[in-house]
Amino acid sequence: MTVENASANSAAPTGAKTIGSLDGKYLTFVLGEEEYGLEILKVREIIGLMEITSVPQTPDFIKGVINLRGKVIPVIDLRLKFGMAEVEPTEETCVIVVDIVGSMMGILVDTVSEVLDIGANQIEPPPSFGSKVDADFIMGMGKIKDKVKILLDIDRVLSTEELLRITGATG
Amino acid sequence: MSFDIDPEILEEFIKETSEELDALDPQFITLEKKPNDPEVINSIFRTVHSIKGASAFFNLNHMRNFAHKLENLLDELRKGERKVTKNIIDILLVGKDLLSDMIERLSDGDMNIEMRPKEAKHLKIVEDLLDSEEESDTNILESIFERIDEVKASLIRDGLGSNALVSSLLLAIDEMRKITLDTDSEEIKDIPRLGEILIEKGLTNQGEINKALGKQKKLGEILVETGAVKEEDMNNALATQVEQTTEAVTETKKVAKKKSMRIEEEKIDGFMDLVGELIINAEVFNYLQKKLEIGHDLDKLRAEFKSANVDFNELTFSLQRRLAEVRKVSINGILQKLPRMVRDLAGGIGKQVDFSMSGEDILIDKSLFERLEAPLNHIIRNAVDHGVELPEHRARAGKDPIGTINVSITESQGELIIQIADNGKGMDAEKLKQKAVEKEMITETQAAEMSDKEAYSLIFSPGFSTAAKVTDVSGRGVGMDVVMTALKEAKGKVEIDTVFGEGSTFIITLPMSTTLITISGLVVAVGVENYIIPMEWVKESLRPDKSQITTLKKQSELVKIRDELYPLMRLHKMFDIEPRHEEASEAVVMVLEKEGKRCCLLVDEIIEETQVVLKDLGAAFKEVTGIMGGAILGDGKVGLVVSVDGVLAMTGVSSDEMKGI
Repeated sequence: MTVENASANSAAPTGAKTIGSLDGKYLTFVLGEEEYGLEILKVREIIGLMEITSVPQTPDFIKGVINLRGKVIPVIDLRLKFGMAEVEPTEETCVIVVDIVGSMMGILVDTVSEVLDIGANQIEPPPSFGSKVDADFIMGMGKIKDKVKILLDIDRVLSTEELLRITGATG
Repeated sequence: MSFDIDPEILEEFIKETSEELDALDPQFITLEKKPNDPEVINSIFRTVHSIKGASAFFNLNHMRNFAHKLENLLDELRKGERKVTKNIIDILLVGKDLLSDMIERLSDGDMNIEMRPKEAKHLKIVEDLLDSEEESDTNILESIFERIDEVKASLIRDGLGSNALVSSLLLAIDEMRKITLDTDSEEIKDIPRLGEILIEKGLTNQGEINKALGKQKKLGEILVETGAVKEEDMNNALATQVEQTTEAVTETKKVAKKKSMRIEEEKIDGFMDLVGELIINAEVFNYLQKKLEIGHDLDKLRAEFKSANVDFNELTFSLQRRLAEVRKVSINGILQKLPRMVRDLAGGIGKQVDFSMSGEDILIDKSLFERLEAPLNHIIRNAVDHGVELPEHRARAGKDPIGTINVSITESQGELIIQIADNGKGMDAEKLKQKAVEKEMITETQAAEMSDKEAYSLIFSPGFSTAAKVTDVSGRGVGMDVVMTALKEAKGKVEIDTVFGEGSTFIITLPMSTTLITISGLVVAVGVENYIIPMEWVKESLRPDKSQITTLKKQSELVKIRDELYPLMRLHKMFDIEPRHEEASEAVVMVLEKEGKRCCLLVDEIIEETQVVLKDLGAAFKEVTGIMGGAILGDGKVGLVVSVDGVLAMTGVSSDEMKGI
């Protein structure tokens, strides 16, 4: 386990990130009522929903695995991971493929919105309470024209440690 | 520092030399056993000679000089001018290690191999030895100690080793040996500088030296002062120098650290042939496609398509087989380092070990090679440190004072099996359990229920160390758990077979190929899901009659097939899915058997046979014991391959218990 922990820690270098270094391009997407942002550098591609093979003996938020051009990659349902209710997939449901320390993973989201340039002056530190999502998963809050985007620390959300947690609910 | 060496040639030199140096260790061990074998000395001599030549070519003067001195010593041995002694072998081995260090530095991009104090010191030892007469003081001492060792061994053999007087005498001798022969204990700090020598001789003092050093000017300063170069130009030139140095260093680093392997030309030619056939095959498909568009005689088209498809499948499989072949390297690359390691380890803690091995010719995948080295070394270290007893303890137990460790490697059914056997003290299951309880790793109840085999596996738990005191070799409680982690990553496992007082055998089993594993499997349906069961372990399948099923306490079920009982595992229960058939007599059971364990696996239906390439599911699924990986099926969906090991582990009924029913 020690080895695993070490790699999980290095995969989540949020401690060292300051608000100042968070400016850049973000891909935003919607989950339920709220809008989230992902660093664009982590995003590999966006694909439509395809048939997912569910894997037994795993927590609910791990939807299963898909075939991405010959590679088998896991798909995580972010709604379930964040303790929200599961919904039936729609036309807009899609999978964002992200790079997590050398391996690819898909995250299932309600819909993808746009790519935004967020400046350092538009980013505020994560709130200590009042958010559905665990504050550990948030790098900062991007405020653009009265709207708030929750900037996710996707490395931490999808770290091995987190994926092996028994329950998906974190709120 | 500017170098005009072709990085590719340098890389080749680094690779070849480190391979040659690695191959020297076992030769030195042979030399120690057969000091008069001219073939061995000659072969070592040739290696060192060629390293000398090559390092001269690369302008690595210090390395050349170092190899030259070793070569001189070897030459004297070769000509019989000097006798091969343990001391000389030690000196040569250290010399070889230092050469390896230099190569290591070179591959890290340090082109400027300078003499290090350790190397200077060793060079001096070699030079002194070369200057000395055949029977130097150390040689005489060495031969005295050799005689003492013989006396010591016979004392121990006669059971006198335990006598208090005798053992304190032996201890005193060992102390004396350490003081007289241990030359490694003191480090030369640094090579003295000129200034230091002048001060020491009383010719000047530190103040004067500092003043003089202050007057020393750099080339740039002098040129600017004399007006030869403008200051601004000089600054630019200096900046360029810094830039280029960094670039050169990083460039060399990149070149040297890239992973690569050597491939015989013949094999590449084989690939080209296959690829050629594939292109022809692709043409056939193109032709068929056109015919399909026009709409020809369907029967003929069907036959042609079938034959093209058969060709395509054959070609892909031979391509895959040949690629796997190319990735293979001899396991000897790992094995050849072991005798030296055992010798040094055992020698350092006063143990005597006769080390042997077999299976050096086996070829394994390169990635497996990289993963195997560390766990294998750990287990062998452990065998030397904890397995084999001290000579006097062995003698007291009526054993030969010289212990044995044997490493044997075999290949069977796509698995690599490595057995590391020692005839040391073995393991005591009760003692291990007690220790685990003390360390609060398990509870008393768990300990009581634990089988002996499970107890032996405790040594692989993190933080478990049985050595009473910490030694250099092992016993820090880290290590054996690393073995487990490394083997799990390679999809392998380790088992321990041991008899207390007689020795232990560690059996490592690993799949031969970790990069591309093809599996013949049966696609089965359970509810709405399909799974693949590796065919290798499926003995038969049948639809059981109601009378064949018995239910035991705790809800476990048994199937009776031709008077034999098998535990029944329901795949739908294991995976928590809704089956089509709850009633076993309406479904199908598959008899699984692997390594003496067996069970019946209940599925709804067997659909078809298939060939798949196994893919790792990644870290997120590492705790899913029932699944060994995924595979892309013909329709593009991912199919999950059931782990037969996982299923058998969940039966919870051992075959011994089955016999008792």
